[in-house]
Amino acid sequence: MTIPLSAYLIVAAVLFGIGIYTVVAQRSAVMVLMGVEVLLNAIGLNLIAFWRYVHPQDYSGQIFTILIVTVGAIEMAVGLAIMMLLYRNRQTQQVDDYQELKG
Amino acid sequence: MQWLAFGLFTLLTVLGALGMSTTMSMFRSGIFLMASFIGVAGLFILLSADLIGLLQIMMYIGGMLVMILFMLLFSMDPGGAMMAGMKMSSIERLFSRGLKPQREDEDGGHSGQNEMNEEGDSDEQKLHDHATVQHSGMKMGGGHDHHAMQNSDDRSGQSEQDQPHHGDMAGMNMGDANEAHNRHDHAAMNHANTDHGADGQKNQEQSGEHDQMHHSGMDHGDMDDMEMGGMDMSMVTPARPWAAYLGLAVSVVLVGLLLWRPAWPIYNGPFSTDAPREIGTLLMGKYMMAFEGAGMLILLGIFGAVMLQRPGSHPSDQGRKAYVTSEENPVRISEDES
Repeated sequence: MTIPLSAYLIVAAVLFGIGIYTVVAQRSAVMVLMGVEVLLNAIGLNLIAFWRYVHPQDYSGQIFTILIVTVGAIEMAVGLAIMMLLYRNRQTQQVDDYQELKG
Repeated sequence: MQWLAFGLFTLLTVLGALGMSTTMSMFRSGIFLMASFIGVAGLFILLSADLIGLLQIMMYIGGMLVMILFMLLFSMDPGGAMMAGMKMSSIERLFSRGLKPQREDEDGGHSGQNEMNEEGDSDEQKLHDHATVQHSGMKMGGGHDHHAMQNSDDRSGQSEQDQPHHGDMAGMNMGDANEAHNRHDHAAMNHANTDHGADGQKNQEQSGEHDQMHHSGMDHGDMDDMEMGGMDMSMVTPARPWAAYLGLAVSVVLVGLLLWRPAWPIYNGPFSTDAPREIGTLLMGKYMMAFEGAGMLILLGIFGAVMLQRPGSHPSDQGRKAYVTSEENPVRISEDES
């Protein structure tokens, strides 16, 4: 185990930052969802790294990662369905055009 | 060796995510996202979580990425051809500078669909018109040096230079399909420039280009769904620098927290590597409720997605209502002119 835990955590932190940037800066809703996926990946990487280095005998970390992947899949499916609906209504995919969803 | 693999996968992950967020081509960003997923899966396997790595590849790449790439087909400019020209105006876009000439080779191929956008405010129109003009300069540049074209702060003179190339641009250096896409792009640009003329406040020197583009815009008939397509070209919000600082700050804060508390109790003892057995035991025992909840969530998600997509189910859905009423007296395919 030559690689320290901090290396993985730094990678996850960088990934998280990129995901935040993507979620905030991108205009297309699909790109926002991609950013969310990157965020979930960073979280999963954190969980797996901590599992491996701190509690490798307890597989709860992997369970959490599986749950995160599941939630990501659901979020993607529902998000894309909603986006498809909005696309049919508004004929656009840019999140700026959904502003009247605020009510 | 371990460090080599770690570095490789880290590079793949970070560069994939970075390219995903900075490239202008949405299709390409999907591919970058796939690279990032593969990198993360490699890191998982390197962390001896093989099952999660395989799950990552199967679910993210096999499932979600297919959905994403499918949804990209509905986007206005999945190939990023139209917004490639506005790329160079920011420091952040240095990351995509290397990506862009590569994208130019295929930029006609993915930029099919545009959509109407009724409610754009005028500021963004101006912004997008800038983008349109830059893009037109670049597109008309065609097979020429794209780097030179893209540094188009002096794009007024440049676009005038490029006008003679515009006519043969549609048929130049691309295949037939790409040619058709190019025409679509030009038509979209026409509309954008129409809007730009309506703005009427900036860049009078582009009016000539505007007219010429109107002349050279072909196939107006079959792109009624592409009106004003050039308006929403930018893939990023105006809050982009702020978002970049935010992301950077989040990363710095996380790494700072890491340096602030570097010592976790590292376990070096033996552990079971029979991941499926362990995970299955935990899922059926300790995390039974979470497992059931996730399964129920999946069920609800699928059900909700299907319900959302059911045609005619939404009462306030005008477009769907029109669709349904038009289907009440269907035109025979053999008689369908359109």
